[in-house]
Amino acid sequence: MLRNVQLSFATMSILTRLEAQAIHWIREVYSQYPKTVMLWSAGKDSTALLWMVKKAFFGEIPFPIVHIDTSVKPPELLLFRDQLAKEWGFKLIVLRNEAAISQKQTFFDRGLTRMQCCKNLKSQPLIDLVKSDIFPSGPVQVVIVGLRSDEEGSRSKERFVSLRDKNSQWDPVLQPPEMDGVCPPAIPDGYHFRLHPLLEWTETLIWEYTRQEGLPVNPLYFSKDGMRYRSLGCLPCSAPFPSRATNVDEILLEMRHLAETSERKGRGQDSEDGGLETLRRGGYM
Amino acid sequence: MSWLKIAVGGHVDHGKSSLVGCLKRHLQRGLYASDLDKALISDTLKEERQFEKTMALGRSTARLGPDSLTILDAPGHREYLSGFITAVSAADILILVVDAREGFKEQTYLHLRLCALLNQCPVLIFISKMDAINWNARRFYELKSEAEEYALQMGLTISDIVSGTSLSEEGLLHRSRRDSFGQLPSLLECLMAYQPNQEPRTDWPLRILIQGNMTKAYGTLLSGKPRVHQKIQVFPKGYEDEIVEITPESLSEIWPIPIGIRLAKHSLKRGDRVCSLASDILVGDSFHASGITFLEPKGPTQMLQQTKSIPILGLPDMVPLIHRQFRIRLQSQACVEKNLRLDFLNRAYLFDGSRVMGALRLLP
Ligand SMILES: Nc1nc2c(ncn2[C@@H]2O[C@H](COP(=O)(O)OP(=O)(O)OP(=O)(O)O)[C@@H](O)[C@H]2O)c(=O)[nH]1
Ligand SMILES: [Mg+2]
Repeated sequence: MLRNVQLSFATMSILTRLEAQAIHWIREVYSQYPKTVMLWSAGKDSTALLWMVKKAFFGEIPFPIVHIDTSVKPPELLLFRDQLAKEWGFKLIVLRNEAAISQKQTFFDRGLTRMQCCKNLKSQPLIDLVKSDIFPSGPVQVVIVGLRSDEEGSRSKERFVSLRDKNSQWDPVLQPPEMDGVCPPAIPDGYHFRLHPLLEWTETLIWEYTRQEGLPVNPLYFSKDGMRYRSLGCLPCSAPFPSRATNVDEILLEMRHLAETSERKGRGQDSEDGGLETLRRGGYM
Repeated sequence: MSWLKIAVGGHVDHGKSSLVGCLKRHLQRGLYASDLDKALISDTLKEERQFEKTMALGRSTARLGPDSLTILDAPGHREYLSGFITAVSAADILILVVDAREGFKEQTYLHLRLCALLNQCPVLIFISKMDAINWNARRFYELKSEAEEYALQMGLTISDIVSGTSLSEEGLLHRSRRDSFGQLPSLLECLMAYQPNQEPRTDWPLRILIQGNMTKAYGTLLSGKPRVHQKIQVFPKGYEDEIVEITPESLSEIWPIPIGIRLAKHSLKRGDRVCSLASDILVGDSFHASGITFLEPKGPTQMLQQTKSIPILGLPDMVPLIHRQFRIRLQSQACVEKNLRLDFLNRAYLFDGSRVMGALRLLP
């Protein structure tokens, strides 16, 4: 493999500190609230996060991993998902809003807005999961999500521990104070937490970590016929962009120029009215 | 420097978000439209833009040369104090923004006090809106000595006192060329030169906070270098034992470090503290504490002065001492060291059973 981009000492030490921060939060929250699940899209961020979970618990993944399937994810992504689940040996729960899909309550079948479609196919299964009896001893306490504050505006307003009501609604203004690294001692009745261990990572750092740890990478991120995906979503709403990067080193070289544009540029729903803030207040990840 | 976490605080409208906007536009070149108001780069919520004020803590990441910055833009309004508490509890340094015209105001004091209470990180004072006072040097030096006096009173360290404007970015991204200001570094220069205290802790006494136990116990190594066969002591129970396993085998030298550990005789539990034998560490379960109440979601915030006992971490028995100082007794769940300030472990939530009501710092 090409070794064009040398990891500087500064980068290595940032990765070490960020990884330690993520592992500390994951352990802290899971030890206090065992009714935890983690969302995994099979994209680069949540795959890196899943690796940190393995590191936190000595190779084991102690809680269920949830993938939300919209029925229009690229087949390569589903293949990668199932292969990794087998290889790493964890319990994978696949959620689908079958009702919306069969009644064609979607953007691609019925011409609903993209946001309405995201809400039906992605937010709703998550909202239902939190209310479900996946844990016999009570409702879900924590949902771990691999979002980053640099992805877009409303995510820059997130906390590591983000309080959600029973319908997974988010109020960014009414969040309790957070003591760095200290797990909140209780969850208010009818509420649950989302944990965002990757909040202070950046797109470049995730790629640097992926390379440092030798993590498996979904082939959709690599150039095919001169095009590659920067962010993986549903087929009707994600566009690849022109790129020649065929491995992680080349992606890192490319990132030096790319960092100046938004990673989610290829994602349709972000540019619609109100955009992600409205969607995320309603329970989107 | 490698990774610096910066909290930005100060009174309402003193120019915090505009300053953060300048930094972001400079460091994340090309990401924001050139006609976008600087404060709006950081104030991203619809409500914030409508009411022209920060309402929720904003978090940004940026590269500064080879290093990384996390910038936490806190709201100035008292009703959103939760955002500032969150920011300052995590920060390596606090940038306190003071409007050159208005000087020190209510929230400026409160933010300094909270910094002294919850973190005690160095403070960089930025006198903002210098354009509005026509770069009056006398005013600047007046505010400078005022700042030094407050910091001294509160036992805080000031790293720099600089001034500038987010309109022309003079003094902020580059030095001012005006008489009496030319010698002052810009805010950005101060940040680049800043060295957070990240000294190696290998030679310090061993301290491991145990978070939980699976096949072996897992936790965070705060200082020292644990070895297999090393004899150790576990608090708060106080028993002695021997380390038989440490994971990973080779530990990083950047603290705090996630770690796995197994002892010869005992099974470690969440809340245990593993310490070296016969070190000068004293670990106990009775402490002084200092704190503020935080009546969320929107109620007023007041310094903690009630005489009734308030459970901390769900553990009762708190007897107040003088103003804002209490003597509290923690039960076996938690134990805090008496003689060393720790990264995050001497801080706790004030809890009323289900809601976070405030923040406490446990004092040696
Ligand atoms: N003249 C002048 N005005 C400024 C400067 N910086 C900010 N302002 C103005 O001051 C007002 C408040 O600026 P913000 O940056 O939103 O202040 P803030 O401290 O973030 O306010 P809150 O977050 O609501 O507490 C805005 O109208 C800005 O245009 C400056 O350097 N000079
Ligand atoms: Mg502001």
